[in-house]
Amino acid sequence: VDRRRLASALDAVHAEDDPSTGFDHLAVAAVDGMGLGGMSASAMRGTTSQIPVFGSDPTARSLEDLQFAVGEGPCVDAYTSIAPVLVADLGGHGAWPAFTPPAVDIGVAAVFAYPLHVAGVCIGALDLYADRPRRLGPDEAAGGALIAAAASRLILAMVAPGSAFGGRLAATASVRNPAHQASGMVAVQLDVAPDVALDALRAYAWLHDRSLDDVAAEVIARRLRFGP
Amino acid sequence: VTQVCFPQIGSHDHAPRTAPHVTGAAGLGGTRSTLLAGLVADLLGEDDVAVLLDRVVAAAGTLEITASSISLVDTDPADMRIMAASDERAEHLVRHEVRLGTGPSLDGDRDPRPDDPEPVDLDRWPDYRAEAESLGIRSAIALSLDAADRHIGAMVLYGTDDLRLGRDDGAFARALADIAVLAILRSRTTYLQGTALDLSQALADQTAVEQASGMVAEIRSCTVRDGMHLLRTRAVAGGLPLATLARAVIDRDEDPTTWDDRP
Repeated sequence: VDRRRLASALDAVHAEDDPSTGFDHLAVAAVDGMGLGGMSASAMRGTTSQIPVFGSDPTARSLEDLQFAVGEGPCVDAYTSIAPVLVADLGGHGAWPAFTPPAVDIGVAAVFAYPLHVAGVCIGALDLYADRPRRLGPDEAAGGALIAAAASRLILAMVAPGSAFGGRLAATASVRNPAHQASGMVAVQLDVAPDVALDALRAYAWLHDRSLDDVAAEVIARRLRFGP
Repeated sequence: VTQVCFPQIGSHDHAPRTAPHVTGAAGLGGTRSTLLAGLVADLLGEDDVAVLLDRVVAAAGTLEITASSISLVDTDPADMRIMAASDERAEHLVRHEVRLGTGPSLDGDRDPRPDDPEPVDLDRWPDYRAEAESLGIRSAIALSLDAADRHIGAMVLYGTDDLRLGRDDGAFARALADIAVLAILRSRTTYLQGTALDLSQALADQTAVEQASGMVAEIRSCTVRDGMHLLRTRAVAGGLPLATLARAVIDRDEDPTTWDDRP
């Protein structure tokens, strides 16, 4: 770990007024300071609600979409256990059958996921990835925790009342998520709760090797029905 | 940009607080230990940081001092904020310090734990000293407020002549400053926690609204877009928050087949 790069990037975050640029500084800390491939972060509530707030590159952004699409992965585990989940070799790890193959396909070989929490409230997860298997040394793991702590503050700054950037996350949030609309429809078709319907949609997409968005679009267009 | 805000001040009478209103478990008639016990109880029970700091300043009135103030400085001097002041003189002096950008609150003793806090040398700030003397203040003791090695502000005690606290009074003053730090940290944690919970709630609300729009679409055999429109129309007609109505639909407490679909 390049402590100087890490420290200067973290200092830049503290001096930064704009949360989005703040995330850019953090990504520099991860990429240049720790030699990683990229960084992404999501605001989350349970495994149902998720808003990607940052992705340093296309792979990192896909990783965020993927974890929501399949509803499992190191980041989901980091969020639910409120503890870091450090996976040095994703391909050799059998814990997430739906998440792992597509993650490896997009070039993610190692994932280091950290919970984003503030004052005891978990608000999301941070993912750092590497394009080849590698371990994080104790210093690097601590560096990841520092990046996660700063990211938590940045997300809060995006929503803090009176913050000039308060509208930023709200604007992101107003982007409709078809998966939730489709899970509402399927909830009626199967007479279950929408959260259960979302799991049914995820399972269907996985079984048929299709993306969650595609399946949701089919349901909304009434070309696909669940249940009787 | 100089930003000064004066919570509390102005809503109180500015008579010198020889008998300030310390509430909580102790009044000022009690011993120092009951006074401290009362403040610590207030830390647990009182949510408003301005009220808490006002009580800390009031408790400092039991020392042989003329006035006291608590101010916060987080990043740069321009952001110094006065949090509590025992009277108009103390308030005026902190304001003056913000204008000057220097003074005992900003540049006073940074040693967080001197055994016997010494008065600061007011000659370091000639403009400040002149202003203080015009108010009859001739000495000041600055107690640094520190949290996790970060200097977050100062509690300043003012005297009409040379202030000497001695070890006992010094330890009491230090305890008051520590209580001020705890009150400030707690209010920040509460704020952060509130914001985090708001975010979490906003995410849940947004998801519920989208899920409900899909349910309405399925039940009413319309598009999701029209389902969302129906949901909004119904919420406005019923005077209900959108997310509340959405949850009622999800819980099957609300039956969209009965909704009037005219705009």
